[in-house]
Amino acid sequence: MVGERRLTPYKLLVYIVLLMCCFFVLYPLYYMVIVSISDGYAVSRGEVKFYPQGVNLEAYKAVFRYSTVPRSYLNSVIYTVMGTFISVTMTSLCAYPLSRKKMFGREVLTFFVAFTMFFDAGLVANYLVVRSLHMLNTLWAIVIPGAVNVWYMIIMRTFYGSISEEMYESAYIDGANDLQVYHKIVLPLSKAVIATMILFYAVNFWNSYIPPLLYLNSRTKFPMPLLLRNIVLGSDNISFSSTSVSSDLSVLGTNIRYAVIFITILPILLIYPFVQKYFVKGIMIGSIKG
Amino acid sequence: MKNIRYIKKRIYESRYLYLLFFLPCVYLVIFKYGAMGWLGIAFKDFNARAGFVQSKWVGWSNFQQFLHDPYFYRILKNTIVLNVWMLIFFFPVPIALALLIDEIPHGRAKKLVQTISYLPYFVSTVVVCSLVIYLFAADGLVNDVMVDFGASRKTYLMDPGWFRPLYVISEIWQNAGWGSIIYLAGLAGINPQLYEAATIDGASRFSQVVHVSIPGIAPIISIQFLLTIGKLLNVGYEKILLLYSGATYKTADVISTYVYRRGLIDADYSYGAAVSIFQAVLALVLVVGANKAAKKIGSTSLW
Amino acid sequence: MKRNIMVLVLLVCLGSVAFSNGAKEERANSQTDDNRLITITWMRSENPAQPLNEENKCIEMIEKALNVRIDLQLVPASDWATKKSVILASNDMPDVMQGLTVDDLRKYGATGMFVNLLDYPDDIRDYLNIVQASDREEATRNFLVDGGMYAFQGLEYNRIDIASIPAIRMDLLKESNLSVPQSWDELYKDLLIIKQKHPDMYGFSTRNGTTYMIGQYAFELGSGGYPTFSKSGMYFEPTSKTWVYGPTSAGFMHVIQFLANSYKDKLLYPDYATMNKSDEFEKLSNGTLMMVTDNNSFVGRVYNPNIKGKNPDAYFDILKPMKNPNSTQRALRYEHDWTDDFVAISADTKYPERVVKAINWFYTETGRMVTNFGEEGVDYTMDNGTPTVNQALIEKHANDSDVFSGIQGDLGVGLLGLGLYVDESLYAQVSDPIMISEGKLIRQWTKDGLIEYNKSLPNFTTEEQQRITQLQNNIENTFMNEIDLFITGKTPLSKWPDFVKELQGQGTEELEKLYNDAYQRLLK
Repeated sequence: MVGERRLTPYKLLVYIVLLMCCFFVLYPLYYMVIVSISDGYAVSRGEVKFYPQGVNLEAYKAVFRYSTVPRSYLNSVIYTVMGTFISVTMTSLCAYPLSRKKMFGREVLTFFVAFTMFFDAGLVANYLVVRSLHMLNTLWAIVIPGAVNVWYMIIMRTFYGSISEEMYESAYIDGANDLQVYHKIVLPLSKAVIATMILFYAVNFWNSYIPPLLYLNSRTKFPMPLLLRNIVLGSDNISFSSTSVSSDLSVLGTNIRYAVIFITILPILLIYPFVQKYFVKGIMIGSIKG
Repeated sequence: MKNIRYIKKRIYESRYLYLLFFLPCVYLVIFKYGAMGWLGIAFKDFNARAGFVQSKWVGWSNFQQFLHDPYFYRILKNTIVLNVWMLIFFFPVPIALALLIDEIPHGRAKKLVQTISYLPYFVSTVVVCSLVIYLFAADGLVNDVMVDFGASRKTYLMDPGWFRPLYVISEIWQNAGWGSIIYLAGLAGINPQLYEAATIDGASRFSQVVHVSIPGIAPIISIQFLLTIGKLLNVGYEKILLLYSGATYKTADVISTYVYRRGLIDADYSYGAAVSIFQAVLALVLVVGANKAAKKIGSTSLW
Repeated sequence: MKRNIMVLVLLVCLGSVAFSNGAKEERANSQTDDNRLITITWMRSENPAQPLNEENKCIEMIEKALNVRIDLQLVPASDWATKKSVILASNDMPDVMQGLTVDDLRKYGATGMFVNLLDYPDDIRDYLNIVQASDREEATRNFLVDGGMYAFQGLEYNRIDIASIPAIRMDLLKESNLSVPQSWDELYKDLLIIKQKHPDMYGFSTRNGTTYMIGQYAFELGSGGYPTFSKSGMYFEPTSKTWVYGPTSAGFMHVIQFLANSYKDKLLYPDYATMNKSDEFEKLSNGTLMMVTDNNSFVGRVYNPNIKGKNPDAYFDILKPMKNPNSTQRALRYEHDWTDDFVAISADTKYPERVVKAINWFYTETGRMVTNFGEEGVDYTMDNGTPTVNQALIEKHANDSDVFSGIQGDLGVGLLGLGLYVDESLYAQVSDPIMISEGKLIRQWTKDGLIEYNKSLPNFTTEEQQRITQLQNNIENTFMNEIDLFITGKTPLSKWPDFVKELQGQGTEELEKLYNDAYQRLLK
């Protein structure tokens, strides 16, 4: 960080506000952690408020009752890696041309792309498209239909737009064409935004459950969210699914449900540090000097 | 009146860019525009076995049903007002958070605070809502604390006036941290020399934030703002379904929850499609307008 | 470093492509349909309480007996409704789909998507004998769509009787020397007395919103509306044998009075409208609530085990239906058989006759035993005519949170597995005895006429259904807007008659007529 390291009143205020935010965020999370490691009965009586009681890891073990957990974890990893790779590539291929002023028809094409954000045809329509392409029950149905998220693409385009024209000028003088410019100049410069896109898409794929729900039929291909959602929601039948006596009967402890949340969070905590180092200031340095 | 030769020249110059754009373009045509045709069932009476083509044509009748519904104005108003609240109260929070986090010197503290801020994003909506209900219940933590301060016990969850604040608070808790990531990435892209120059000129840190940081991420803020306007007509039903009740319908009932309840009686894809089209057209009009305004004031625009 | 990452990513991508191609399971499917082996895809939901395996004992035994291999496609119960509606709307059914509701049948049955079982009357002899017997005959006719029978229904052979009836903390009654209340008035007084002794406790709450709460209490109080999980105020009034819109009927006044008074006297929990299942269970388990009117099986399975940990003397038990202001005693129990577990066969299936025959087998005695208990001698033995599950199997699952479901999930049998003609005798072996004793009481009370079965909706024509959707939409929205204001006292009860007029203005009488006309058609 560039700037003074002295503790000014402004800085003090900043730190206090951040501390309050941290507490605001942390207490509910802390509550969930202590519930997930507490005894099921104490939890069901609502006795766990500020500290855990009857500490045990039963809740976490309960998740592994599903024999397909390791397989599902692997599936999640595969879908996430492949999907992120395809998505980030496609998004970048879409965003970069639209960021260049020299692209003829740029405004029209941007509108063409943005228009798809407004008219979402719905689950049935997407299902029919995937089916007609014979992608049902395959890996492709997971990683391709969601390849480009237009919102992210527009963000990426905005970042690309901040690359100054002088960079391009000097490259053209050196005899480079647009493909070479993209490969040798633009990509290296956009580390921060690519890292961000990787993070966003990876999290999306990791948590996505609707494409797997609709397009996959074999249990062996299910990713984690399908298992986990069932645990967290499957016994709390309100509102969403058709409520019925048979589905109403199951009762799964809150401690198990919260344990499941943390199992989901863990991998993200592992990815983020890698991505975070790209958020260091100065990563885009050189965009003026060339 | 553009010269044909001029156009040809421009296209030729952009040929590599078109090449790069080709693959995403194909994807969009197949998966987005291809699926969009399905919305045509809004003009039909959808029958699953007959399929799209053979279902009976009913013209505007689904739209009329929706527009003439006795609750139409209320749900439209609630949807838009809720999103305006989000625009006013939620939208600035990730920006402010990013600026605040940026003040922390690089190192473990910064990483820790960042990580803490985005953890709630991963808590599923159902759990977030049960946390809200738990905290704001008549005998919950918030009431206990307020009573200690001398206020009376309130039933926040059955009070229509409290629905929007509770909704926004839960959204801030869940999404502000994650939303700040994009602004942090933007802040990382600001040339450090600009800060050096400002320090040399004797500017305070706060003034640097206002005159260097914020303008530095202004394009992202502008785009995010325009995109958010595009979502003004859309509010997801999941969270509201969990937080509302008959007592709060007045402020809480939005288009998606209303259609959802109707779908419980008789799942009607045609009606749902008509409502979707209505929302989309209105949103499009708003964004086109906002985009024009953005261009006029010289800010970054969508197209 | 970057290059290494790129190489790693590419390797993973190549690996996953190979992996996904290699994983295509194609099963041999013979071309004739005499008794050769055929494979059918069977889709059903998977309840988290009973995880299933795609290959299990039950499927093995079915293949052995019928030469039909079931390719089980499991869907998480949490999203079953979404998947089901997308599959049906896109006309992409698997061979067999289990878990359809009556509404699905009525909406899609006549479109020709499902096989009409009545086209194969000789192949479904066993099933027809059961569903056309006198006790099921009316319901079966009700589920016909345009005269066609489009699905098999999940039936109960031996089901622990359960009902949605009040259960109260018996120890608290004893503590204040109160006898078991015989009328709703007496109950109310008892709750007030307990409240005096325990000011922090509340009388009751609910777990699915205001209409669910009304459904829990209205029928017993002499009126009705929103029975079990219905979102509509229409209910079947047994005294007049007609369908009535509860809130506008005369007797409903008692219901609203009861609820409003409870709120005023702080017996009704103030946040009742947003309370969810785990919240309510928590409050019952830690002594915040005195009573609950809900599925009685939770008493033995949830409330009592939980509360005993803290207070060994505390326990809940069910109350016999009490005298209401109309001087009658009545309660409602869930519909006979299951109306959300229909099994339909796709009209596009390759060998419809084989599949129809196969599913009919589930309802024969052999089929019933296999799909509920597994293999005789190995998984269970017959003990004086009562199927008794082997101890070894029970011990294997003794540490599961739900022993019953653990055993059934292991084998793939039962209601949450492939059982269509359900036998719940296993409960007697592994459950809290209070469930069995309560079941016996409920059976007796039903026999004595104190408990009625909930009635399924009659069959409507398309035009009728459209009109009903419109009316119900408006009426229920109006109702939901005001009802909580009455209960919480923000609107005085003196304004109730005006509210009734408002509802009637939305068309409640027309709604009643539509229902009753359809019901009369059924009776003919």
